[in-house]
Amino acid sequence: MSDNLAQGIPVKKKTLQSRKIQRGFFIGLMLSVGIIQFLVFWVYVNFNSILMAFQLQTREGLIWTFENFSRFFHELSIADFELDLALKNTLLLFVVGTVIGLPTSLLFSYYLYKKILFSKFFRVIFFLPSIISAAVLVALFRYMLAVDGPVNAILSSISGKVVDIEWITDEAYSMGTILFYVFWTGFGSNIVLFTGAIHRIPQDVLEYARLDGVSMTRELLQIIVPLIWPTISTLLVFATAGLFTNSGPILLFTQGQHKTMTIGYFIFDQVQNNSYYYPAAIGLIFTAIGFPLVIIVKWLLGKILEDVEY
Amino acid sequence: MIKAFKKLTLAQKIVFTFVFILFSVYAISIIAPFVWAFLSSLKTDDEYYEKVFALPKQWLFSNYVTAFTEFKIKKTSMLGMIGNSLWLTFSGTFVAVMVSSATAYIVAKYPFWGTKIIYRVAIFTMIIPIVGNLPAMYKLVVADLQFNNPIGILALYAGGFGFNFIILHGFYRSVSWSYAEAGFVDGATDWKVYWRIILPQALPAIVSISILSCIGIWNDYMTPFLYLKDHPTLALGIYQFDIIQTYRSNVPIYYCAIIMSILPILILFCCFQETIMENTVAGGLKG
Repeated sequence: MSDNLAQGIPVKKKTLQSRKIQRGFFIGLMLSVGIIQFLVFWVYVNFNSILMAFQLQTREGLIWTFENFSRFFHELSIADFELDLALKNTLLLFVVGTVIGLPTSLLFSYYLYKKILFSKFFRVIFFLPSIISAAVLVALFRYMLAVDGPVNAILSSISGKVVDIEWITDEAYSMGTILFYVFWTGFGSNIVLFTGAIHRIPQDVLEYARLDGVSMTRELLQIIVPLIWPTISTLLVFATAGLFTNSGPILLFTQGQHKTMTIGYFIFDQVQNNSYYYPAAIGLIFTAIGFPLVIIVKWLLGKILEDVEY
Repeated sequence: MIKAFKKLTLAQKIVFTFVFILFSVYAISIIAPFVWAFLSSLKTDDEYYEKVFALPKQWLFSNYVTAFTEFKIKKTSMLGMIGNSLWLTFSGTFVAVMVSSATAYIVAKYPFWGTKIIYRVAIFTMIIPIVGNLPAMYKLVVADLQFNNPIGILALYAGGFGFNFIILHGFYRSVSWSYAEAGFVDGATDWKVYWRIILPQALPAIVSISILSCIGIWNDYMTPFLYLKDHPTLALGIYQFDIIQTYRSNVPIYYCAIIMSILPILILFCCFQETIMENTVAGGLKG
């Protein structure tokens, strides 16, 4: 393509050369901002992040050390530092958001596709939580769940007793409340992606199956799931990639208090307290776990079903 | 639709009815908090605490005026926050889309050895799960570059190889090259072809990723929280106002801010519903 202008047009050698220089200049300039940004904010940042994991700021200056790593494994065994809790909560967020959340979204999408009454309206409403700021959603959620708020008021009137549960500040409920929020607001974009994928399936395939009297369960599990497998596996790979990075809406809900710490928030919290080297080491450890995990998940998902083409 | 319903077997009818009830309950649970927030924004403070569910006695739209003077984070007023949000949303989107468009165009239409590498790297960086580079990022932006201001922060948005790149790359690859060729024959430079011939054709794609980008930045509270503490946006303000207020005075004002912050998004969504839903890509919105 780069020779387009030369084809069929008699040009003098000299102008052709200057044209080439001009073109090189154009390509370089167009790519420059993106590449510089990438080199600084991706390559340099990640490279420095690895270095920082092995560094420590002392009174004598910056030293090279494995201290950050031994500190992590030491603190992991002490319950007070809540690192084991953070790991557990991080995995819980993944289980609720992805392991339970994705199949539920798929089921929702299937019934929306089956043209349940008002399905268009439902699709739009279900999408709303994905375009409204989490800051707003959580604020509303917190006010609804306030001790003297609407949810407790409704529960009181149903049970006939005074209900004054502290949904967010009571350790017994706090993480459960956050997990519920993640589940409840997490459908939107998945539903849009799934319904889109189902609508792209050639409709005659589904039509034949229906004529053969295939039940709805079989239609969903044996026809639709294999046909939209690329969408499902992409979402799963991205969810796995975000497993340790995704801190959940912890900042908005509890700032890590009341037994709601996660790995992502722990790192964030350290940075807020001007500690940079220790969280960098924690990040490196979980990158080392997460990277093979993504590769394995990607390989497994490819094994279960081959990518389909239609 | 009702005809189709009659054709179903009894078991299917029961399932469909059950799912319909489930969907309705879920839909109500999404809409109700917003209706409640809107009604609360029109009450007096006492009314808000005394009668949680009652309609406001008088519909105090004046609360919205009060919000402009009373909803404050340190020195930044509501108007300031709206200004900060608008600046970040529009300039951030402009920078992000322009840079991605330039890189995507070159990689799609000027193939040479470098473009293949660029494309591979772009895909690779999207899947690799890097945990905890925040310390290094924070140190670079705040301590080394001192980009923690409304202008400098735009550098963070000027990435050319994310989801925007992938979408625009797909678009540019399929766009017809014959107009561009005609342009070259007429002696147009590469610049002219890009600005005058290619970009106008790409406008629909650019508009749709711009809308998604606008929604994302308008809603983002993390970036302002980390780097723009002195220039809070509306999303950050809503978070901080809740934290700062140890005693909750005049809560209705807070609901006014909430309603005002979602209004632009809702209007945008009503106008571009299909565009927004069709262009939702994995991870593209909540990123």
